[in-house]
Amino acid sequence: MIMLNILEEKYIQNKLTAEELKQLRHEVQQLSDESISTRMQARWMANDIDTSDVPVSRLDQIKKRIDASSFSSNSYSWLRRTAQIAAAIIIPVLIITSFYLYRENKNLGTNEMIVSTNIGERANITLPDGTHVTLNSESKLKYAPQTFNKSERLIHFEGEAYFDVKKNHDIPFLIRTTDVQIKVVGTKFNLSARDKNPVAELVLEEGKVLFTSLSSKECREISPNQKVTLDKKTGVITITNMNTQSISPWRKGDLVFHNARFTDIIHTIESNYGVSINITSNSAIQKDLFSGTVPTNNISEAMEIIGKAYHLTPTIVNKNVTLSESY
Amino acid sequence: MVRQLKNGSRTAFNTIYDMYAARVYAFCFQYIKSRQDVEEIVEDVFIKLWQNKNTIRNENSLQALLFIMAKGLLIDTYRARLNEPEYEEYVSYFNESSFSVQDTSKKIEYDDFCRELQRAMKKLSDTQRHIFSACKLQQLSNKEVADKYALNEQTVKNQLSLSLKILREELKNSWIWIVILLNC
Repeated sequence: MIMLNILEEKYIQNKLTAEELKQLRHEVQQLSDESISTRMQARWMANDIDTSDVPVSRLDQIKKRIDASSFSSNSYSWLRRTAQIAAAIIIPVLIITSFYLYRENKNLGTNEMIVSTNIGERANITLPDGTHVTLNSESKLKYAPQTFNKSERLIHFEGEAYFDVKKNHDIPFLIRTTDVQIKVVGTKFNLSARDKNPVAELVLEEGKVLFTSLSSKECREISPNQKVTLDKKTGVITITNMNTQSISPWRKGDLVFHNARFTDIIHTIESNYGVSINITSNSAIQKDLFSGTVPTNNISEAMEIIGKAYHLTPTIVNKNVTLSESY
Repeated sequence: MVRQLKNGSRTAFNTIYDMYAARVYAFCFQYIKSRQDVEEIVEDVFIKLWQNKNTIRNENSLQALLFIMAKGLLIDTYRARLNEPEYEEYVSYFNESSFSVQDTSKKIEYDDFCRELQRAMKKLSDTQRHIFSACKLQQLSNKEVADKYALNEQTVKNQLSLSLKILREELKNSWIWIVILLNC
């Protein structure tokens, strides 16, 4: 016991040797918590504890922490807790949502944009570079928004359209169809490149065009008021000079019908095209009224539209049109 | 004042803190040697005091009550400290070194010692660090260490004494800085 007192005293004074420490360790190990407690309490209750070394600043720090955990105002602590919980939920949700939206956005960007028209439809589109395209019926235009205005302006096209290409000398505008490729820098022209037609045609209004046949690789430069024709079978490119007024006659206008009677429609078409139309069907459907648009420059398209509306099949031979019953 | 505390007076609580906190701190420090640990106990004691203010019987027992609230953590930490190999290193360092640390005003604190030891250990090679750690901190015998690291015992002894030399050199250098700081 005396040994323990001495060792303990030396320990408290920091005058132990390593050997003595080992002894003290051994002694204390033998003691129960109660015995240690009794010994300590005796020393505690005595009045000779030196507090001069205690840093006041640390005591103040400790007091602050004590106050913080014991005295937080009740009326606000529930609010704080609620806010903490809400934040813990909302913040991850926000992060996940923005990731998701960002990904979705990127995905949208990488998709291809397709604009197409059905029979009898027209469409106007403005491309990201400001180029304006008027699509005629049964035409399709494709481009990739992500890459469109970077090093080149590439579109895939089939059908007929009028192009008003925004001038940009650094980024050429490329149109690729099944048979031809068109390269321009800033131009206005009409391109007809329908897969079902035996020829592809371009009529240039303004600017300059490089016209390439994809099969023969032949490349020709077109000047304004010229028309270039590619014979798909022979691969021959022909350039002819033209009158600008007839560049895109289909853009001029359509015949628009509102609740029109069949006979009136037939008469209007006959006079517009200078054809004669013969109907071989007796069907009562012809009593129906028609509302729709019919082109003024494409007789076969015009007849197809009417035919579809009235379940008739048109047959065109020169200036004679026959409408017979569809099956 | 105790009565006021029982009624929930914060002023009374503050006064009691001013009266006793330093004493609690100094007393626990005698046993625990680490300022970090002591601060934790002081905080804990007074938080408990406020939580249990109703159970105080009279003024005389306030001092005793404080001890009761401290003793759990105090005794556990005391036991742990005695068994701590780092503390043994601390004690032997101050015994064996010629550095004049008998003068208590220049005494290096245990917390700082531990931190410096960690830093000095980084200066050892991997092998030395392993050996030092195994011998001194894990308290393995030289033979056990030799077996564990597939070295012969003499190598272990040599590496160990080399490590100790390096560490003491390192620590001596950093003590100089610490001493200068303390004297500012």
